Amino acid sequence: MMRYIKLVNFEINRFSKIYLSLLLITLVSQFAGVFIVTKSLLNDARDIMKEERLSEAAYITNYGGIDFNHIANSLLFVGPIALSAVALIFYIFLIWYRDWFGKNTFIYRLLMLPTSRLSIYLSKATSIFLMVLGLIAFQIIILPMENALFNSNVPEVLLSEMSISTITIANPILSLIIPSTFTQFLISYGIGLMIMSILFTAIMFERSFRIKGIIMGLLYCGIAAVLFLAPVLMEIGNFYFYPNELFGLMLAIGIILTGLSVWLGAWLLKNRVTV
Amino acid sequence: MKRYLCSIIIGMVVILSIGTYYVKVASSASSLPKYTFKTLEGSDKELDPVIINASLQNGSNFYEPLTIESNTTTYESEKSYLENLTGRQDYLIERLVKEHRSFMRGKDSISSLYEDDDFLAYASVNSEYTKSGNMDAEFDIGLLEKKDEEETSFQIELPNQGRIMNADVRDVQLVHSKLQVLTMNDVNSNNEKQTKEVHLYTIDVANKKVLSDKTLVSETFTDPEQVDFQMPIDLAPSQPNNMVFISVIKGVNHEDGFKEKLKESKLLSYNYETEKLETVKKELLSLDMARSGYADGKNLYAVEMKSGKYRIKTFDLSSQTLTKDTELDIAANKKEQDFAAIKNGRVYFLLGNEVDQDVLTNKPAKLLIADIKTGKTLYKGETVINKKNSKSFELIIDDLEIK
Repeated sequence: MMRYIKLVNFEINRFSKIYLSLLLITLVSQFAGVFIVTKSLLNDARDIMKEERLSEAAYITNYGGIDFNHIANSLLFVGPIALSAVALIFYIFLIWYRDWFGKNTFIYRLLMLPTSRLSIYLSKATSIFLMVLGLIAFQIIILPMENALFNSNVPEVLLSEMSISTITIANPILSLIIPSTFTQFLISYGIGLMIMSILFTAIMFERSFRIKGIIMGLLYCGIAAVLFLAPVLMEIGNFYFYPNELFGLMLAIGIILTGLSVWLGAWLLKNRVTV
Repeated sequence: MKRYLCSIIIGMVVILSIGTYYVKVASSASSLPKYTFKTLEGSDKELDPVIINASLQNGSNFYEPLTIESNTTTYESEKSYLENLTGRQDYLIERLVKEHRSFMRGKDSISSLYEDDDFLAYASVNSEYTKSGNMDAEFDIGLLEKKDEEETSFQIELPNQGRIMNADVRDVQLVHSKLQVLTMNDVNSNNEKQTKEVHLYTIDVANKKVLSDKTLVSETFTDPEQVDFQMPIDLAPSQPNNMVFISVIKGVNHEDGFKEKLKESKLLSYNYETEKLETVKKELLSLDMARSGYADGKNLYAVEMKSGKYRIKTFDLSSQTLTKDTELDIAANKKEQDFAAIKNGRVYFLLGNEVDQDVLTNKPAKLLIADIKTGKTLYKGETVINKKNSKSFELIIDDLEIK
């Protein structure tokens, strides 16, 4: 257990520089977005009011108030989220490959350590998962600040104030990363964990059997996808499942697939992975 | 310890931030205002079978669907994930799924169902469009014998498919052990002319055959003329009905809308037992009444506004006479939307959603439950909200259902 925690800490520290940069980019870009987009919205509104000779109240009736959705949909806001997602997906692969192809052929030392190889597998999975959640947590913290900044920069008459939950529901990307209920959160991130464990196992196939391994890895991903989506595929073939049956089936299959992947990946790491 | 700083910070931030967020989400769901009915007259026991589907709105950014069932408000966000997966369902479908789970698999169209004491039947049309644009359609038929849970299910091709562009099942009845399926069909056409038809298919379930395909009504028209078929709102869609009403609406499409040719529109009645199609005399039943009315197999009920009060006119389908003209003890308001349901010998009448020139006025919804024969008020009440600063919350009513 202690080894596992030490490994998790080690992995996090390794990535910390890039991680901190991602957080910083998100902070700067999103706050810049608030300023820049608010200013441009207000300018547009003032131009329309001048051209059509509308009072502020008339503007609201015709065009609606200015709301945070415009900011949340802008590139400056969404960009860093996409960037962080891509970076972490990349790192799912890099977290393993850097040990093989890094400067110090670190993997020799790692695999020589008297730790169970399962700890290595789990520590890498835990670190990535923790860092993803960290990004989400960071977004949850700065979003109210951005909303408050926005609300204070728009004159009250033109402002259409939105609550945080409304903002997250209205924006497709935010509603994906910050689900509206805790149950949905567990489901979405559970599926994320499942996909990550399947990818890890595919990587283990590659590291065990090299080129043959890539094919085996891809095959494994394909089989896992078909198994998980089997209930949905059966529906297309005219067999009808009630919604709660579909949910129960996919939950069971998801848990089995995750467990199987972790077991298989750890087994490959222990018995087949070559340095 | 310093080595662990990063991990500890991330761990704590994750738990605190995400934890606090979802705790806040959960507590704000329970802090939503609750609606109940304040009894102005009568016994509130009458509210037990009443289900009102509505939503709470506050400007354009706030929308929370809710249900008031037996005088208790439940928001969609308060229900569990599994309950919300199934979504809003008719009470009838819910009950049938509970009672006959395997038979009801995949069956969610009320007008395709028929239920009596011995049988549960289902008929719907499955259609696919081929590459050449033609329709491949088949009936999906199911019959369940309730006593021994014996199921018969089969698919059979729709007769004369080549003619049909679209077929919609509107009523299913079991008459003399044969399944009668009433559909509204759009007919294929190569030219400007459009044709709409009402068909009655008789299906022998035991031998899995379509016995007959009768065209009850066929109307051909060319733009800007327009013909539509309509049936009154069915209060008991799955119950055995002897008769069915079809309004044939004829008119012309002008630039500023549809203008009906009242002299040509007509109301037809079809009796499944006698197999007779008749035109209902307009003096007995006005077209308006038939169209906006509610039917339950024995009677057609229409809501009318007269001299500042609401009236429910009852038209007996078999004798084709107006048997009752009941006045309801509730003030009429043209700007309000009315929802009615007739069941258990009572009329359930709900008024709400007052709109004046596109602006919704925030007023309590009013519910009146009266005896359908005498018009005597059994319950009168209006909604109250349990929060003080609730002026900006608007309750928008979607529908009324009686268990």
